[in-house]
Amino acid sequence: MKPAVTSAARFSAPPAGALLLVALLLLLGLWIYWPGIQGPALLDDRSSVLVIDDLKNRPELAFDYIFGDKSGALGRSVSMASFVLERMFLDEGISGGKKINIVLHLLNGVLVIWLFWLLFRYLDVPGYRVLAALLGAVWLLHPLLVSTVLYVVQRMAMLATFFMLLASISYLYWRFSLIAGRPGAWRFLPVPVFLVIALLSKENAIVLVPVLLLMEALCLRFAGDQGEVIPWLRKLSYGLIVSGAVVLLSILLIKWDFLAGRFHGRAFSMEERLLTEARIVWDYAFQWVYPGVARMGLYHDDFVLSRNLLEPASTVFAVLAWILVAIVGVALLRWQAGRWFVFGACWFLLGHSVESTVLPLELYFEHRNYFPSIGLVLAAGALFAAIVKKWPEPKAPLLVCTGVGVLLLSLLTSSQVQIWSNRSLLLLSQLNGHPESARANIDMATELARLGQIEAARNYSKRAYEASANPAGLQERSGDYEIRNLALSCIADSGVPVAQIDELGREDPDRPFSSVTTLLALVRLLQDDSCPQFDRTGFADRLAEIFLVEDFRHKASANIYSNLAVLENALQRYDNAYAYAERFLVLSPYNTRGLLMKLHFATALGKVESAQSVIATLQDMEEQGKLTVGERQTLALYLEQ
Amino acid sequence: MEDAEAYTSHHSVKGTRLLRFSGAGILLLCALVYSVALQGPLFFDDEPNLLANPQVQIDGKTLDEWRSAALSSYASILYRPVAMLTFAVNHVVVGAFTPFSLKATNLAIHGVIAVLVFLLSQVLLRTPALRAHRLSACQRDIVALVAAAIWLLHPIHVPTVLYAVQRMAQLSTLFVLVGLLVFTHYRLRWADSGGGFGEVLAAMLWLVLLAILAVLSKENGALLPWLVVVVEVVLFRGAWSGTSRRPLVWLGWVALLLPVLVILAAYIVAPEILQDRYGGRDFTLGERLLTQGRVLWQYLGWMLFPNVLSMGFFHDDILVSRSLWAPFTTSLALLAWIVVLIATLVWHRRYPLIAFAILFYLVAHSMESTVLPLEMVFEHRNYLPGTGFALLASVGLFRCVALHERLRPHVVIGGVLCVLAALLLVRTTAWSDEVSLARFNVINHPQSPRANFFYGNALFKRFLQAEALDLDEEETRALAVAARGYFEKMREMDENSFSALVMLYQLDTLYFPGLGEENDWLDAMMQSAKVRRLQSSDHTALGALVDFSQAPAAAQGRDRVGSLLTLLASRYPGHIDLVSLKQRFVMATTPAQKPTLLPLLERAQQMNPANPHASTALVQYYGSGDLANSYEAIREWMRRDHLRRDLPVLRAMFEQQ
Repeated sequence: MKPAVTSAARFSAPPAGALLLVALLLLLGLWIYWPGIQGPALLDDRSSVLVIDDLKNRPELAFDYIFGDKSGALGRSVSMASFVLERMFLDEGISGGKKINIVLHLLNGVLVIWLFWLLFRYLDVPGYRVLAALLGAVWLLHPLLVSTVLYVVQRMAMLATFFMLLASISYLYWRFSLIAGRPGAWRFLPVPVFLVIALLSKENAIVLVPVLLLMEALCLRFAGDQGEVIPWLRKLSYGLIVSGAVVLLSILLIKWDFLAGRFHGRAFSMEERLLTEARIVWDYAFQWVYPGVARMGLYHDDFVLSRNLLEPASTVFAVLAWILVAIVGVALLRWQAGRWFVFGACWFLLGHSVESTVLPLELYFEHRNYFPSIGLVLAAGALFAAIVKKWPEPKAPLLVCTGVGVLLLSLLTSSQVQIWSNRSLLLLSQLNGHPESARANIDMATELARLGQIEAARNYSKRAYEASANPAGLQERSGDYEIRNLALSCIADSGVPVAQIDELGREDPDRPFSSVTTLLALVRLLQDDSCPQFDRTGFADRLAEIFLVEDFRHKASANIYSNLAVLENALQRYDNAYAYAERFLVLSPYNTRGLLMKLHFATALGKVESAQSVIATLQDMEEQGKLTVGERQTLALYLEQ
Repeated sequence: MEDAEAYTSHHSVKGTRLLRFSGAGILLLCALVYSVALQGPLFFDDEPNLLANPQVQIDGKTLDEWRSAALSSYASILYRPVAMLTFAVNHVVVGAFTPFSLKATNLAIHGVIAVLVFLLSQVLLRTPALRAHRLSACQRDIVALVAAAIWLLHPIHVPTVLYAVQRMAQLSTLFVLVGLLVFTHYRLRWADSGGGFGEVLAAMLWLVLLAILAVLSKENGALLPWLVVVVEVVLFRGAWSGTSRRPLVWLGWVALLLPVLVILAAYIVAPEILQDRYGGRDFTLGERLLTQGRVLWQYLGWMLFPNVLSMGFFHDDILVSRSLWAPFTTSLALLAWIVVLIATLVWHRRYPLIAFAILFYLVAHSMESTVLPLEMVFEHRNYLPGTGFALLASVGLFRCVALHERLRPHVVIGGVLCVLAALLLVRTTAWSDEVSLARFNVINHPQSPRANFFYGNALFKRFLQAEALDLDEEETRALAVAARGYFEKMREMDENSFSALVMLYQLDTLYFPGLGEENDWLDAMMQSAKVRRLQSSDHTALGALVDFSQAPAAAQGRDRVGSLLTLLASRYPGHIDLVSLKQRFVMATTPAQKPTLLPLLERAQQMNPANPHASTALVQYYGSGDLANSYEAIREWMRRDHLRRDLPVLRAMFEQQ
C-alpha cells in the first residue's frame, strides 16, 4: 500500500493556525489545573516525596533518595531525581510538586498532540491538524487524569509517559526517514534511550515495546521507500510480537503458582484479581467515555471483588464483553480504519497489562489510565477517519462536536480540580462517591478529630472498620481499629480512659495488630507529644506486655517492632527500645535501619559489646557498598565516639 | 452583450452597496431609538437571576467560576447555561451588573438577529414554493431587508430587548434562526441537485449542535426541528433533485403532525401529567388552552397593528376563559383558528407564504402558549413567532406597491418603517426609567394588579430617595400617599396577595401610624395565609416582611409575623423557601428559639431529597458551633448537588475556616 502523503509533507512544519490552537488549548489546561496547586499532600506523597530532607545543607544525601526508592523493581531513579531536584531548587513543598506535575502534564499534552499529528497526517486523515489538536485536548483535559496530575507522587507515571511518548515520536521519525529513503540506524537510537529512561521512571514503560510493534503492524504496515513493504521489518515485527506473546504465556503458565503465591498478603487471590480487573478495565473505559466525576478520586477500595465468574454476575458479562471485543477486533483488521481502531484499543489494553493483571497490586487506581487512555482517544480518531474518508462533508461539524466535547470535559475537569484544591472538599467528595470505602471513612474521621469532634470521628472510624469487611477488602483487625481510635483521640487532644488502653490486644491476642501505618501514625503523634492528655507510658507499658514476650515472631510483622522501638525511644526507655530493635532484627536480619537503632540503644545503655558487634556488621555492609550516604554518616558519628 | 453584463454588474454592485447602506441605516436608527432606554431599570426576574445571584457575579479568574455561573439560574431544569454565560461576560467586562451593559448587549443581539432575519428571508424567498413570486435577486434583497427592518423596529419586541433576562429568549431565537438558515441553505441545494448521505449527515449534525445551543439558551429552542419541518412541508414540498418526492412529502406531514398527536396521546393516556402541574395556578389546563385561543389572536393583532397603548409589561388583567362561552369571544377565537388552520392546509400550495407565516407562528408559540402551566400573556413570546409574519408583511407591502403604480415604493416602505420607529420610540421612552414605565403600564392596564403594585412600588422607592432627589415635604408626602393608593388598589383587585399587604403594612407602620391600620394588614395576611395558593411574588413579599420585622418599628407585630410563618410552614410542610424564611426570621428576631427550627429543617431535607438547598439551610443552622453536624450537612449538600453548581460557595466556605 502506498502512503498517501509525500515524504516532503511528512516533515513540513505545522501551520501557524494549528500552533495557535495548540497554544490556546495548553493555556486552557494551565488555567484549569492551576488552582490545584493549593491541594493537600496525599497518601504516598508523604512517604516518597515529603520525606526528602533539606538537601541544600546536605546535598550529598541526594543520591540516597535518587537510588534508594524501593517502590519499583528498577528503583524509579529518574522520578526520584525529579523530586530531589525539585527539593533542591524549587523547594515549595507539596504545592511546588503539583506545579511541576501540571507543567509536565501540559508537556505530555504537547507530545500527545504531536504524536497524533504525525500519525493522522501519515494516515492521510482529512483535517488531521485540527483533529490532532482537539483529540490531544480530549486527553489533556480529561477529568480522569486529575488524580494523576494533582497527586505529586504520580509524577512517576507521568514521567514514564513523557519518555514513552518521546520514544514513540522518535520511532515515527525513524520510520518516516525509512519511508523517505534515508535509512540510518542512528535515527533509531533515541527510541531505546527514551525507553530506558521511561523504565527508570516507572516500570510499566515496558508496555511501549508491544505498543510500537503493533503501531508498525497495524498503522505503518512496514512501509518503505515508494510505499513497498520492508521485508526485514515485517519479519522482525511479527517475530517479536509472536515470540513475545509465546514467552509471556509460557512464563504465566510455568510460574502460575509462583505468581499466585505472591498474593498471600492481599485480600484476594490472583484469579480473583484477574476476574475483577476484567470489570475494572471496563469501568476505566466507561469513565473515559462517559465521565462520572462524582465517583472519581483516590479511593476505590469499595470496588466489589469478583470471587468467581458469577459473583457478582457482572463478571461474566465483563469477560464475555472482552471476548466479543477480541472477535470484533479481529474482524475489523480487514479494513484500514478498522486496523487503526484496533490499534487504539490494543494501546489501551497493553497499557493496562502490567498493573491490571497478575501482579499483586491494589485493584483500582485511576492513575493507571494515564498512558493507556491515549489509546482510547486514538480509537476515537480512527472512528473519525473512517467517517470522513467515506463522507468528507461532515468533517467540519464532527470537528466542532469534538470541540464541544473538549469544552464539556474542561468543565468537568475544572470542577474536579476545585475539589482537589481543598482538603475538606476532597475528603467529603471521596466519601460521597465511595461511602463504603474504609479509607474515605478514615479520612473523614481524621478530619473530624482535627476539628475536635471526637465522637463523630469515632463514628466514622467505626464505619471504616465495618466497611473493611465488605466484599472488596481484608477485614481490619480490631486491634488496628483500637489503635486508630487512640490516634484520633490524640489528634483531637481528648483524654483516653485507662480501660481503653488496657483493653488493647485482648481480642485476637495471637496477632493483635497488623497495620504498620496506623501504629506509626500514633507513634509519631506521641513522639511529637501532640496530645499531652494521652497516657504515653501506660500505652507503652500495655504494648510491652503484649509484645515483649518469648513468642514474639508470630505476634506482629517486623515493622511493628521498629515502630515500638521508636515509641520507647521517645519515652527514653532504652531497655524496651533495645528489646524491640532486637526483635525487629530477628524478623528482618541485616536491616540497616534496625542495626542503627540497635546501635543507638546499645550505646545509650552502655552495652559496649553489643554496640561493637553491630558496628562490625555495619562496617562489613559499608565495605560491600550496602549503606547509603546518610547511613554511613550516622555510623561515622558512632565511630567518632 | 458585454455592455449589458457590465451594466448589470455595475448596478448589482451599486445595489449591494445601497442595500448595505440601508441596512446599516436601519440598524443605526434602531440603536438610536433604543438608546433612550438603555439606562432603564432592572427588575423582577433580573433580581433572582442576576442581581441576587452571587454565582453569576464573577471576576472570571478560574474556569470553574464560569462553569458555576453558567449553571446558576434556577429559571428552568436546564439552567439556560448559554444565556447565563453571556451575563457572566457582562459582569466580568464591567465589574458589575449595570443596566446599560446588560441592555446594550441585548440590543446588539437584537441587531444580530435582525441580520439573521434578513439572511433567512433571502434564502426562504428562493425556496421552490416562493419562487412563484418571481422576485429578482435585487427584489428579494429588498423584501428581505424590509422584513428584517419590520421585525427589528417592531414595538412588540421592546420587553424582550429591554428586559435583561429575556436575553434567554433572544439567544434561543438567534440559534433557531441560524439553524433554519443552515437547513434552508442545504435544502436549496438538495432541491435542485439532490444530496448525498455525507451532506445530510453534516446538515443534521449542524442542526443538532444549534438545537442544543438554542435549548441551552431557553427551552423553546427545542422547537427548531419542528420549525424545520414547517419550512420543509410548506416551502420545499418534498422537492429533491428537481422533482417532488412523495415519500419526502408524506414524511414531512407526518413529522409536522407527530408532536401534536404525541401531546394528545399523552393527555388521553395520562392526563395527570399535564393537569397536576397546574397546582400553583388559579386556572386549569382547559382554561389555559381556551384562553390561549384568544391570546394568540391578540398577539397577532399587536404584530399586524402595533397599538402601543394596549401593550405593556403586565397582562394579568386578561380575562381567563372559564368555558367556551365565558367570555363568548373564546368560541369565536377558537373557531377562527380552526377555519384558519383548515384554510392553511387546503390552500397552502396556492398561498405558501401565508401558510408558512401561520404555521411558523403557531409552531413557534406551541411551547409557551399551549399546555404548560405558564402565565397567560407575555409579549416576549412573540420574538421568534413574529419573524414569519415580518416576511409576510414585507412581501405584502411589496405586492401592494407593485399593484398601485402611483405609490412610490421608497415612500411607502419608508413611511411604514418610520411609523414603526415612532411607535417604538414611544415605548422605549416609557422604558427609560422605572416610574415612567410603571405609569405607562398602569395607564394601559388599570385593572392589572401587578401594574398597580409596580407603580406603587416605584413611587415608594422614589419616596425613600426623597432626600437625595431634593424633594420638598409636600412632594414627599404626596409620593407616599400615591404609593399607598396604588397598593390599596392592588389589594382590592387581588385581596389575598401578600405583595400589597406587606407594602401596606410597612407603609402604615412607618409613615401612617395615625391611620392605625397596620394591625388590619397583619390580620389580612393571617387570613391570606390560610387560603392563599402561594406564588413566587408572594415569596418575595414574605422575604420583605421578614426583613422589615427586624426593624425596631415593627417590634410590635413580630409575634404575629412569626405565627404567620408557622401557619404557612404548616400548610406547606417541607417547603424549603418557607422554612428558610422562618429560619431567617427566628435567627434575626428570636435566636433563643433556634432549636425549634431543627425539626422543620430536617423535614424539609427529607421531603426534598434532590434539593441541595434543603441541606444549605441546615449548614447555616449548625454553623461553626457544631462542626460535626455542619460537615454532615455539607456532605449531604455536596451529594445532592450533582452538577456541582454550588462548588465555589462550598470552596469559599472552607477557605474562610
